[in-house]
Amino acid sequence: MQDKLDYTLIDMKAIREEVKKSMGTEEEPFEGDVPIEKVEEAVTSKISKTKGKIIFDGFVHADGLAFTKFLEQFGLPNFVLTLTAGKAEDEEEKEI
Amino acid sequence: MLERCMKRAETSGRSDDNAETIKKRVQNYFDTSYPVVEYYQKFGKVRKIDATGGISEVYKQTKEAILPQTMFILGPKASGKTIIAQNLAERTNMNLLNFNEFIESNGYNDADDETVTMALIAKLSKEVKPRVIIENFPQNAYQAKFFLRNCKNPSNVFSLECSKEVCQERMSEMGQGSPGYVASAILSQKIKAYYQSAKELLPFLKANTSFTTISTDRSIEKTLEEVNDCVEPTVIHIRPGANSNNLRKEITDKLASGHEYMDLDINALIRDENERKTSIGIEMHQMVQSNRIIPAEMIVRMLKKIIYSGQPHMNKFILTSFPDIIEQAKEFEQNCAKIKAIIYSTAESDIVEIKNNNLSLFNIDSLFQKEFRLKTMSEWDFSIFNEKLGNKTDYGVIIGR
Repeated sequence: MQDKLDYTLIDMKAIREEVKKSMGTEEEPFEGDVPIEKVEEAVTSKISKTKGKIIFDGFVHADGLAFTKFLEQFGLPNFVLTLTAGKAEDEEEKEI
Repeated sequence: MLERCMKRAETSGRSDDNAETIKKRVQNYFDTSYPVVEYYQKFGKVRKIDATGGISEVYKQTKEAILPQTMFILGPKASGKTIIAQNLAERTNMNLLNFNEFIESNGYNDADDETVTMALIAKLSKEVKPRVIIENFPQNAYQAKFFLRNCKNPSNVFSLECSKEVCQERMSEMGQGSPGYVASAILSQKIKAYYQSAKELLPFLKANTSFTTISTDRSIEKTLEEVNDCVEPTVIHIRPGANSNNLRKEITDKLASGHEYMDLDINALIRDENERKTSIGIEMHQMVQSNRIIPAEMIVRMLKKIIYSGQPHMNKFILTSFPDIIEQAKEFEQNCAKIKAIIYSTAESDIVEIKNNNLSLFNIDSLFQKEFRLKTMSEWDFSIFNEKLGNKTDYGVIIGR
């Protein structure tokens, strides 16, 4: 979608890594968990600089509802794509 | 999925491609990601993609899922295309795109069919509205074939038919000052040219799309009713009778879990809009704060976005806690969709006593009862429900020696 349909990809895991790097130095890399607020700040900053369509590839929040809460500031997404691996397998997975 | 990941493990070199970790990852998906899907489901935003196929197939499905739902409206000049398309767009949450104007404003007058159709598809891929009705497209069979091959099938194609006399009458009513006006002789030429190009186009669309021929020789209101019938989903409203709130809940739950009905609980939706501070949520909040009742127009505006979210498979809805009075029911039916029936859950018997049949009392029960749209249910049974809704029962006959 990024290559063919001009979407800007927001990979929160990659952004979290960038934030982590910026929190330390080469000699003394930051060890520990990056606060979610810092990641959110970096994502918001990236979005404010982006013109056009944006797509989130996953999230790094502790739970899904925290992610939806974060997205509220941008309004409702146009769509949420959920990739399934077939109905039978879905049910099988729920039983795990 | 497990099989696919284990196969990937043979070449990926990823240490976490083993059965145990994969199971954990799947469980993690249901624990943390699935609530996101459930949350956005109620806003009609979720598109399910079957990812069991190859990458190109999954990408094709994805592309189709994010493109807006489209409809085509075709017909000779002065057959009523624009007015019907405008009404449909307004009522069912669509953008109206006039293909002739699109060609004109983008300088495609001399472009070939492939170029203009590609440009149209590119425009659709950037469309924000989930539904688009395209007037005067396709103009020939080549454009139609190209569109179907490279985009997605339109959910409906309306071909308007109108006698030459009525077209001419409508043109003269428009008057010479109107921008679309053409003299009678030119109109005749245009009508002839349309039918000429339609000779190959219409049979192709009939064979490959959900095609409906609509006669526009009668009044616009009657035509609109027919068009709306083709597009509108099934909407029912479930109301509890005395001591039958549990039965109402049971009917709603059974229809939602087993028969693909979507429960639109108006109070919960208003709460959501309010919490998310959407523009309509803010408007509603201001109404409540100033001790005013939320107008039906606002609720209908909110519902329209969900009911017409651009997913053709989402076509059965239950209204809960709305409408309550005749004015609300009329607002909903005039500007969104017809309510097929009120299902009245009755705890003890199938009899609903309407103590006063006076419509001026604003109660919707009396209105729906007068129009034979009030149905009662004293216990849950899908076949009875279906019968009460007046759904046709399909049957077959096998004969032989």
